[in-house]
Amino acid sequence: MTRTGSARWLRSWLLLIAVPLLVFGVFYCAPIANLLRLSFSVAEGQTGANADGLDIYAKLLGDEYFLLIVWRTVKLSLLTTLACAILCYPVSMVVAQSKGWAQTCLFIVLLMPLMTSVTVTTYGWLILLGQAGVVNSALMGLGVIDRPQRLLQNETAIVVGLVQVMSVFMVLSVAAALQSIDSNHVRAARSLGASPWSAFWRIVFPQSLPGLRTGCLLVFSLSMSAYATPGVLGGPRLKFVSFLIYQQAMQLLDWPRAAAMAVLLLIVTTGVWGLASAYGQLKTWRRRQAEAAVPAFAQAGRQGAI
Amino acid sequence: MRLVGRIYAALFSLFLLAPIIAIAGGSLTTTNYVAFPPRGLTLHWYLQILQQRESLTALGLSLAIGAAAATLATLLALPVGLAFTRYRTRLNGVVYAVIMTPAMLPSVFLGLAFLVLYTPMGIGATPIGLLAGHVMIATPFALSLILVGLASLDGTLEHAARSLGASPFRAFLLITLPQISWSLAAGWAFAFMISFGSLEISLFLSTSTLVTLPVQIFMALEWSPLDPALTAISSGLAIITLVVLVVTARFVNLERFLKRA
Repeated sequence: MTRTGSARWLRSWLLLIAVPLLVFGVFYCAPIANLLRLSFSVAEGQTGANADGLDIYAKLLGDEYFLLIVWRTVKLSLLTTLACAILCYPVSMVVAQSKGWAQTCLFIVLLMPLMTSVTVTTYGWLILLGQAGVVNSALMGLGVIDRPQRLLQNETAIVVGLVQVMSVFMVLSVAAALQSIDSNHVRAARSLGASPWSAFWRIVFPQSLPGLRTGCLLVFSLSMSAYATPGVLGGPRLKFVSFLIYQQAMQLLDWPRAAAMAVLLLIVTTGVWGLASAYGQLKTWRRRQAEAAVPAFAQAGRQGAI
Repeated sequence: MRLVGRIYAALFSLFLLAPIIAIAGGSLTTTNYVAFPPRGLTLHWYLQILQQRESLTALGLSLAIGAAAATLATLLALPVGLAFTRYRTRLNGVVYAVIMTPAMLPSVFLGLAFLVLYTPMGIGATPIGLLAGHVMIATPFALSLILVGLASLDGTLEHAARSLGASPFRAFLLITLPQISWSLAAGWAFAFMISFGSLEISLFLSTSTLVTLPVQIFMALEWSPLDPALTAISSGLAIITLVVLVVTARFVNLERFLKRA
């Protein structure tokens, strides 16, 4: 390609991208940069002699109440991720195998909790799990309990609500990985005498792991930042970090402190993604090293042999 | 084995839909507190919303913001999608990261960031600020569907049009656009649903006079969770979402989601 050709190329690329990028720069990137700046500033009225840019962070990380809430958020998000992975995997298999209108129905069912406002689904759990709710009456009808139990305002209720909202991410990620598996691999394994069970564990499951990993990452980071579900189902006693941020910003009007909390939440959620991608890169690098270590003739021989 | 899988999927679907069914069922009760299963059947509570000025205003605002945000998101995402598919450059990755991240970052983080900068910009507690925030979180969904559409595009048709003398714009308008119209529609619909249901961003950008429907319901949950009228509004919200979703699924093969990932 000639020089003028590449210049024209860049110009038309910029022409297409300019307006969206400008809009995102002003209304998205600038607010984020500004929030980062604010979190390192000193809160008004706290300009003590030893107050510096990291003062808010130091105070936050020494605050036992804050750390307790962070720990609860992490713990329940991990539980949600685990529950989603176990409960959703079989559903993904059904989704990957289904066709036509059955698959469309499954998609609508899966997307409904995501697309319906989280306020509505959370409200629904409030009705189902309440003292006079259908779950309590069903348990009493079955004779499991003899009077209504408090099913709300505990950690289980939060996890149940989160699993319901988040499972679509797990199912779609795993189903996408399952669908990309060459069915000939399974057929080959079966024809060579593998039982269905061992064909699944040795052929299908390992190949679905990337999808499972993506699903886990999505569910974990979204659960970490959940607001309405823990707020309503957990009650005032079991706060999540998001609730604390909202309270700091909107009720106590302490924006710098809220900003620092929000940045810490961001670091934890995106940090997981960073670690996962670093792990992925390490694995590829190791494989390349291992391949490089094998002498060229051996590789050629191996390829010839197969 | 197949049958077991299907039964399990059906039970799981029931779990996913349970809260929505409870809302829809509970709103039909004749008692003046929410009861599920409902005692008797009445549409009284739906008629009562029609007299609640606040709820109607909130519904109107949510619909208007949703439609405007979805339209702007689609208009922003389309040129980006075109740039990505026509020109292969490393810069695409950077632009993609900027536009897709709003869907992944904690929404409370985003809400706070928007509030803190939009306020000095003078759009803090205005419909413009609320709309801007909604456009940011809706665009990733519009873009990912538009990219699916563009990926399935047959490029030779546009080449043929160009070689027969059509201007780039004419070729795009008459050849490319009709081929990807389904993905534009799906992108619009998903962006609409995301904006229409968004709670956190709106919580930060709303004021006492500027309240979207999810925010209004969320606030009311604290005071009167067992008011059947509240259930009726909530179920209205869910019904609108379901209609948009079913219409989208009617025109768009949702299976294309799996192909991309």
